[in-house]
Amino acid sequence: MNTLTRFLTILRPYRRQALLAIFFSAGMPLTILPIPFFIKYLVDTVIALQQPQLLINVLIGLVAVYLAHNILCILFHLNISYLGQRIVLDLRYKLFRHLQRLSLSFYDQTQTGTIISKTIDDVDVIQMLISGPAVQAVTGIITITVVSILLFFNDWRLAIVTLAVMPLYILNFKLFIKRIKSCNLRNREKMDEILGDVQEKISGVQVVKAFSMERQEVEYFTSKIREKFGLGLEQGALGSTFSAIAIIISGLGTALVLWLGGLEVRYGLITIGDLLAFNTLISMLYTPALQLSELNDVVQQAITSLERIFELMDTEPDIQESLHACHLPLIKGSISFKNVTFGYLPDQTILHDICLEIEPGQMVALVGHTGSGKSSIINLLPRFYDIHSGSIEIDGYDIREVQISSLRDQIGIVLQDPLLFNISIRENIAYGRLEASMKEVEEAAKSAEIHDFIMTLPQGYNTCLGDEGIKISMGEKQRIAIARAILKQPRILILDEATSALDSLSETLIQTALDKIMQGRTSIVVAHRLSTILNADKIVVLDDGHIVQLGAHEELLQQEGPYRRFYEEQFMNQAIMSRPELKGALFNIV
Amino acid sequence: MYNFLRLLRKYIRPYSDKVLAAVVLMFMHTGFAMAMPLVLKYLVDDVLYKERYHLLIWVFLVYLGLRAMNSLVAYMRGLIVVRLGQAVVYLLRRDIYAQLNRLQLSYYDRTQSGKIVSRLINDVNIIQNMVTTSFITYFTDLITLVTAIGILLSINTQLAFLAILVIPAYIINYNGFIGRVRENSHRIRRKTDEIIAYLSERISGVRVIKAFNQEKQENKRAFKKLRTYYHLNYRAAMLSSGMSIIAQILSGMSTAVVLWYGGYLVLQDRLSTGGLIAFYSLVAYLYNPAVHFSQINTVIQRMRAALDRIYELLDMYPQIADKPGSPALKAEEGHIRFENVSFRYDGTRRVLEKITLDIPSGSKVAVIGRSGSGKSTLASLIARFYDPTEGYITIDGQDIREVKIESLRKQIGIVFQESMLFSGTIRDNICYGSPRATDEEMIIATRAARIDDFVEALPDNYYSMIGERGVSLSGGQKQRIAIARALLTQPRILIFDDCTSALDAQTEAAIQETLQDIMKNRTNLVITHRLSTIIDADLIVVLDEGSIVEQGVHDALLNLGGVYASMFQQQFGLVNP
Ligand SMILES: Nc1ncnc2c1ncn2[C@@H]1O[C@H](COP(=O)(O)OP(=O)(O)OP(=O)(O)O)[C@@H](O)[C@H]1O
Ligand SMILES: Nc1ncnc2c1ncn2[C@@H]1O[C@H](COP(=O)(O)OP(=O)(O)OP(=O)(O)O)[C@@H](O)[C@H]1O
Ligand SMILES: [Mg+2]
Ligand SMILES: [Mg+2]
Repeated sequence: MNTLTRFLTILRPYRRQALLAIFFSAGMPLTILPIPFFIKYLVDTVIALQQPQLLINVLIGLVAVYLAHNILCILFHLNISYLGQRIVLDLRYKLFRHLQRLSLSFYDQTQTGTIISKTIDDVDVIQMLISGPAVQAVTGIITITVVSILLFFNDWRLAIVTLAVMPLYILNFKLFIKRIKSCNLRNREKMDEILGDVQEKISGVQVVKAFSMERQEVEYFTSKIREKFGLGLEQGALGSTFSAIAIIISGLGTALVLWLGGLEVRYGLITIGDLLAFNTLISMLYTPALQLSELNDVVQQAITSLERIFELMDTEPDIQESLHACHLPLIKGSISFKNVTFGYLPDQTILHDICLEIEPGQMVALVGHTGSGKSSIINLLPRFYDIHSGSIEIDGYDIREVQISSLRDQIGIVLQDPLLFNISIRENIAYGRLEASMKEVEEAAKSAEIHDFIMTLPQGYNTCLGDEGIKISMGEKQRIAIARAILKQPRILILDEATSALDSLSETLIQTALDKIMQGRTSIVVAHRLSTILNADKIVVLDDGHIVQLGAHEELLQQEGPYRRFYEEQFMNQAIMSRPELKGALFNIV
Repeated sequence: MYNFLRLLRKYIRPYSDKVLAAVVLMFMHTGFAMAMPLVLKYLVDDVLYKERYHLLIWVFLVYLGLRAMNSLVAYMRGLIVVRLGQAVVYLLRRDIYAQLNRLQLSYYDRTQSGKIVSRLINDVNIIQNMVTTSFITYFTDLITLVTAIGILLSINTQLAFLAILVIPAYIINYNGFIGRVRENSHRIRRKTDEIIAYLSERISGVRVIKAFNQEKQENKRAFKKLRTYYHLNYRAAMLSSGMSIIAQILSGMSTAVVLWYGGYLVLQDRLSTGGLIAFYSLVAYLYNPAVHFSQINTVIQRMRAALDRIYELLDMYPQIADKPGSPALKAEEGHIRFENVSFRYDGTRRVLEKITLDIPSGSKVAVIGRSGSGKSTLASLIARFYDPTEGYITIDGQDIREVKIESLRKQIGIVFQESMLFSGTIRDNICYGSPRATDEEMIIATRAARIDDFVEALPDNYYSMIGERGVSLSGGQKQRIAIARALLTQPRILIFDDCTSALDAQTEAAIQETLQDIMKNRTNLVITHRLSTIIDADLIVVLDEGSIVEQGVHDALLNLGGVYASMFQQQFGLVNP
């Protein structure tokens, strides 16, 4: 479907308003059409025939015409303001909803700045199109048609002369359209690029400062906006040339009419009043023609923006709910990975043939070198990504066959990156269950060992986090993220290095609380500090995307294998080795 | 309006020749345009009525000539105006961005990044719009108005006075609306910020939204925000149409009156027919600017809102900046001293209390403590991300507030607790602080951070793209890239803030080993929760609620039987099966 027809489908819910808008915008120029005839009347009848008593007709007629015109204008403005803003609201909301549907792989590949630029700036361009050019186009086309007909009635010879220059407009348009369009696109894309970069550098400003890169950043930015400057000039030059040519064309038409019209007056074919009326009519013809071609610029920009918006809307989420997906009932929590192979990109394999059975209520630990695929396994359970082959089943349901929300509702996850939002602490903790009572929130916070900290804040749970509120330390963030996952009371609890930034005391305390919570729930824990996973029912040792060992702590410790090496490494650090007197002490503890 | 004058002085004055040219061209444009009705008058009165038809060809040529000149002038003006607009935007963005880079971190602590971006992009766009269109239109309109009044007066004084009579009505109309329009514009700008900030946060937090199944709620929240935005914009549209419609009504009515009274004058032979026609065409030049003024008004109000916000940012005084004439830091040794340092973040309780600490050059000092005890804060003070509320910090005897910040930070390599990578290639990221590093140097740093094997196994190795914030890397990979990035700058002082938390013990030990060499001859501050990595530290500092509660070497602290000893027991005691 082409962009403009698609745009019309967006308008469909508002077709009544849109039709009204067209009606009004057609009416506006039509109501002022009689003006030239009043002028002719004034010149040929009132003045030429010396009829002062008729003068009042001119006044009454003109006032009536202008009044009608203005009333239409008011109606039109009321209507178009609503329409334009309403469509912007709809478009933005649609885009936002669509963004919520898109899968993580989309976000992995797209800069935040680009998405924002589409939802804000491109939609603004559309709004401009609706309340400005789109209307002008309608008005222009209707005016041109009606005026052309009137011209013929008035004087067909002059009408032919007038219309003879119209093809030149079209030629001019054809000549420029491609270049203007491509220039617009490049300009928007440059903007995206700049926005994406700026957005990132501003959120990472600490790094910029730590490395004293301010000057380089400013230089880089300057070079980018310089490129944009160049594109802006090109765009401007194209636009100016285009409209300059259009002005000459209309000038040619009017000049010809005055000349030939004068000759016609000479041979008595028309009266002076006719010529004057004709002249006024022509300006009514050329003004919209001129506007229409200037509109071209805006319309082209709007089309570029529309294309970008549609491109985003057309990005289908990789993760699709199957058509006959069923609701996942309250689960017991058995999980089974059957020959799961997975990669983030189609031709990449991160996890190889993973087979893993987890009984309801079990605690399973994933260990392995960094980059071995622990977080990747975890990403698969809530179906953030789809696997390449094999299957993942929860309570016997293939997760691709159930409704995604019913699946995710039963999984509580603490991501490796504890992301919080700029809302109050309470809202952050209750993020997954907005209806939770204050008591529940506090309990979750207590289990996550963060309650005491929150109480030291002047506004307690109502303290806003983030840029608008307070910044907190890494460990505090992690604990809030834990509280958030706990509060959800999920059937499956996933902790991806949830306590990596915590001191061992806090970690132990949380561990104790978690042990209680994990009773009766299936849990999957990723941790490098083996101390946190010693009492796991099952330890899965991953290496480079393969499961290399599987079993309980004692079992694995008996075997010669990577787990034992991990274990030894952790407690017999280089530093300790270098102090033989400590070695003994430590081994005793162990 | 004050800010507008500043904009003029700083950003537009350098282009005063362009502005002048634009105004002159504009003047010519108006002149040519207004000469056309006079040609018409000539045609009617001198050619047609007097039947001097041989002059018709001249009418044609002159008219065409005027139009051609007009188009040429419009073209040249277009070019100049675009150039002007683009240049102003360019300069403004450059200055804003430079200012953003000057501002201290506490500014960023307070301000959402989306809002900052919005200023840099959207507000400046509005200014551009103003410079290229409204500003110029304003000038033209003024010129047009004055010239039109002049010509009208010369055609017929009485009629001209009649036509001018309505102008005060325009002014009243304008004043009636202006206050509301202005207030609404400010609200719209603030809302725009809010929406952009909201969006960018939800986009970076999309994982959490999905994990917690909050799509629907977020949709609702977004809808609410967008709806308010819609209402504000709708109101703005209504206000501006209200204003321009009243202006249109005024102009329509007065045109009718002009034609009526003009016809009367013609009948009385006090005006020629051509004169009346010319007058009728010219009246449009009188009223159009007046209508414009009320339309432009909205734009100008938006511009003022944007300009105020831009200047608010530009005027912000960077709290952490070089003192004039401050010398570069001479850090031959890299000996850091905290002298009675206390610190609080803006408006919060004290985070650090009277810290006195000596970090000799070449030593490895470990800072440990419970989460939230102020370790990261302590580290950020050394790089002067914040200034202490009390006390001072010296490096080799020089107060760090007295030296050039750049020279200070160049001597410090920090690995942050949060890796914070940028989108781009792995190489871009590792070489971030040292763009001139050679490939060998980069590979050495990569090797030291033990990330070389991983990178070299990638299809594009060092040129692999890593996505925004490094999304396509695992937690431990990000941390190691951040380590390599800090090592490559070869700083005198190295600060590691819990930067191996996502690493397995083996990798961690391997990094420790390579670091041992690198750490020699440098001053090292290590923040960690894993005590095993700091047993060999020259000094262990235990922080609790912002104060130093214990310091000493491992053995001494263990014997002391205090906080450290219990932490140590805790960590290793747990292992007991
Ligand atoms: N979004 C992504 N796109 C592409 N590749 C990815 C993505 N996320 C991770 N990878 C790659 O997949 C591999 C496994 O990553 P994963 O995050 O699962 O490791 P991990 O075991 O959790 O490591 P760590 O302990 O460091 O967190 C890594 O090599 C990583 O580079
Ligand atoms: N930018 C900030 N603005 C306001 N308060 C802050 C800011 N950063 C940290 N804080 C507060 O200061 C205290 C110390 O934080 P800091 O980050 O130094 O702790 P930390 O010892 O590094 O903790 P962790 O081990 O969890 O990283 C915390 O209570 C935190 O909430
Ligand atoms: Mg991970
Ligand atoms: Mg910290």
